[in-house]
Formats: sequence, structure tokens, C-alpha cells
Amino acid sequence: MPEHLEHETLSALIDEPEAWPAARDHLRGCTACRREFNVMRRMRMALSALDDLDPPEAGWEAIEARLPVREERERAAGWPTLDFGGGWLSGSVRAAAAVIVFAAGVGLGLWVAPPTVSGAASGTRAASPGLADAGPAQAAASPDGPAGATPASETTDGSAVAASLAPTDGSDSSVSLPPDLPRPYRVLYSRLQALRARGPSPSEVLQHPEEAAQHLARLDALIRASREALQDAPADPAINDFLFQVVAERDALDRALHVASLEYR
Amino acid sequence: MGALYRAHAARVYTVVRRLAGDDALAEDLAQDAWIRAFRKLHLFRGDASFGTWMYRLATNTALNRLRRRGRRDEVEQEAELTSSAADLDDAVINQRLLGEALDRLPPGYRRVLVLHDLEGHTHEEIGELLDVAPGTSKSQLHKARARMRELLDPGGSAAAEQSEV
Repeated sequence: MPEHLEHETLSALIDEPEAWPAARDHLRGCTACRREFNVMRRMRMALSALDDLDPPEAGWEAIEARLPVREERERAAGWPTLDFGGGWLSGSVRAAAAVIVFAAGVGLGLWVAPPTVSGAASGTRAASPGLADAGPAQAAASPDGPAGATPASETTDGSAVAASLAPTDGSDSSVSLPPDLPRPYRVLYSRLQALRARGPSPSEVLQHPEEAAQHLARLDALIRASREALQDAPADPAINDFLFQVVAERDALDRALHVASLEYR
Repeated sequence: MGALYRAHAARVYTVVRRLAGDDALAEDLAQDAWIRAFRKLHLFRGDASFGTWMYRLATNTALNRLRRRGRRDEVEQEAELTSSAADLDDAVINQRLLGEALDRLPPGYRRVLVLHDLEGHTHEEIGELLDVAPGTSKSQLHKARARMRELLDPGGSAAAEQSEV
């Protein structure tokens, strides 16, 4: 055994004191090594307690500038009238199909695990005719109707989907959207807004755990639909925006549920 | 997207900054990680929270870039701290000094130390992340801590030893 322990040995003693019996024995009888051991142990603890750093102030702007969001959004704005003579025809058709499938998925997402909440939001809207095939229980429980049942092949401009997804109360959307965004996209966002209004806020999770679980299931369905749509149109800005919003919503709810479960214990 | 970024930006930036040891490189790595996330979001399965998924993606993005970069400039940075600690007991709780010392560690040491002591990964996990054996991770960790100790108080431990002789 050397006169004093190497720092590497002291480091090993911090993690696995049982694995180094001779070094441990030395430590008991050596004041200098004990001091160094304590210093290194404090250093290790201080490292694990380092605070998070502040990201660069213009971080998001720099990232957004590297994303093709603006260009794609402008292209998406002209989407309902496809440029059949343009070079991006096939991409537009694929994007259009993806949006239609996406819209269908969103409709299904809203349809899954229909809310049991009472009140004006669920009680005043009539079931759409398309619910007949879904069975009476679902028809009665789903005020939105199976918008997802709209066949994607019916249209290439999304108007049928937009019509089937359109809010029945006449409102469009309270979400702040670019003014030139096509109607199908606007309708999707209005549906997200409606979904938010129907689910419990994170602070209400503890009081309404069943509603929170249903809301989580709806969000999962929306995420699945968005992911599937993105496989066909991975750069579609509206679907990506939508997915980010739903994921953020799900993340917040998931955290709230976790905190609530800890409080319950 | 902006909301998701704001919610997780600090966590993402912290891990890539600690791994990179450099502000400009960290900014670049963080941007890469977020852009990858944007493009791969459809692969997010919801099995874990978005924060966990994003953390893994950022860590992997940073380590892959640093691994490629490391082959070019794997030169140990021996520079001393701009401000040395008069008393190590104060230094070890001084976050700024700890951060400076971390930045001056050789890249290989820094990665293992950050992943183990700051991020809480096991040696098995680090072995997978860095494509090394767990024993290598363990050995590098002890070397890294020893170097940190020297960087924080060069000559301090020797003085302590002499005082005991």
C-alpha cells in the first residue's frame, strides 16, 4: 500500500467502498487521505447538483430559421388549388392525401374515449348522421361524429373533410393562425381547441382522474394519427405544428397525472 | 413548437453544453437536436414523456457529433482554470468553477463524468452510449474525477500530503 492513496483510488472508494478493503483500511488510519476522500466526495455531490444552464436567448429563432416551416407553410396555403402544371405536383398530392388521412385520424382521435363530462359542451350538439354505423352507444356519446369515416378518396382538396370536421356551433377557431391558412387546417386547429376545452386542466387532474385518463387516450389517438400522416408528408408544417401542440398537451397532462399519483400516495 | 422548445430548452442545452465543453459548439448541437426532433417527431411513440424522449435524442445527437469530431481533435486540454480556488472546500460548491473545470477536462473524460455524475447514467448505459465496455467507463470516470480534483486545486492535495508527513 503506498503512503497515500491515489485520487483514482479515492474515486473508486466513493462508488464501491466494499470493493477496496485495503484502501478502506488505509483511509481509517490516514488523516490526509480522509481529507482528500471527503473533498472528492463533496466534489462528486456538487457535480450532481449543478444547475441547468440557460439556453441562448435567440435559440428558438435560430432553430426556426433552419426549419422549412415558413416556405412549407406558404406552399400549404396554396394547397387546395393544386398546381397541376408545377414540378411539385406529386408532392402536393401526397401532402393533400396525408392531410386528408390526418384529418380523418383527428376525427377518430376526438371520437376515441368520448368524454363523459356533462354540460353544454357535450349536451347541446347533435350526433352527426354518420354515427349510425358506429352503434347507438357511441353515437350518443360522441358529439363530434366520426369525421374520420370520411373516405379519403372522395376529394383531393379536403373540402369534404373540412365540412365534416367543421364545428357545428358556427365558430371557426380561437387559435391564433396565419390568415392564409387553408380551411382544412383551420378546422383541425379549431378541433384541438375544442378538445382542450373539454379536457380537465392539469390543475384539475386530481379532482377528475377519469376525465384526465380519457383525455390522455384522446391525445394519444391524435398523436398516432399525426404520426401516420407525417409518414406521407414529413415536412408538412401544419401537421408538424399540430403534433407538437398535441404532444405538449399530452406531456403536461402526463406530468400532472404523475404528480397527482404521488400526492395520492 | 415554440412552447415545447421553451419547456425543454434548458434541459437539452444543459446536457449538450456539459458534454461539449464549449458554448458555440453546444449551441450548434442543441440546434441539431431540436431539428432532428422536429423531423423525427412522428417516431415519438408516447411511451415516455416528451422530455425524456427529447433528452435521449439530444444526448445521442451530441455524442455522435462529438465522437466524429473527437477523432480529429482528441487533444487533452491542459490549460489551468482562469481563477483557481484558494480553498477547495469553497471551490467544490462553486458552480462556476466546477463548470470551468469540466470544460477543461479532456473530451473523453468529460463525457463519462457528465453522463455518470451529472446525468446519473450507469456504466452499462454509458458503455452503450459511447460504444465502450462498462469497465472502460468506470476507469475513465475515476481518471476524470482525479483530473477534476487537480484542476480545481492544483497543488492543493500535494500541500495537504506534505503537511501530514
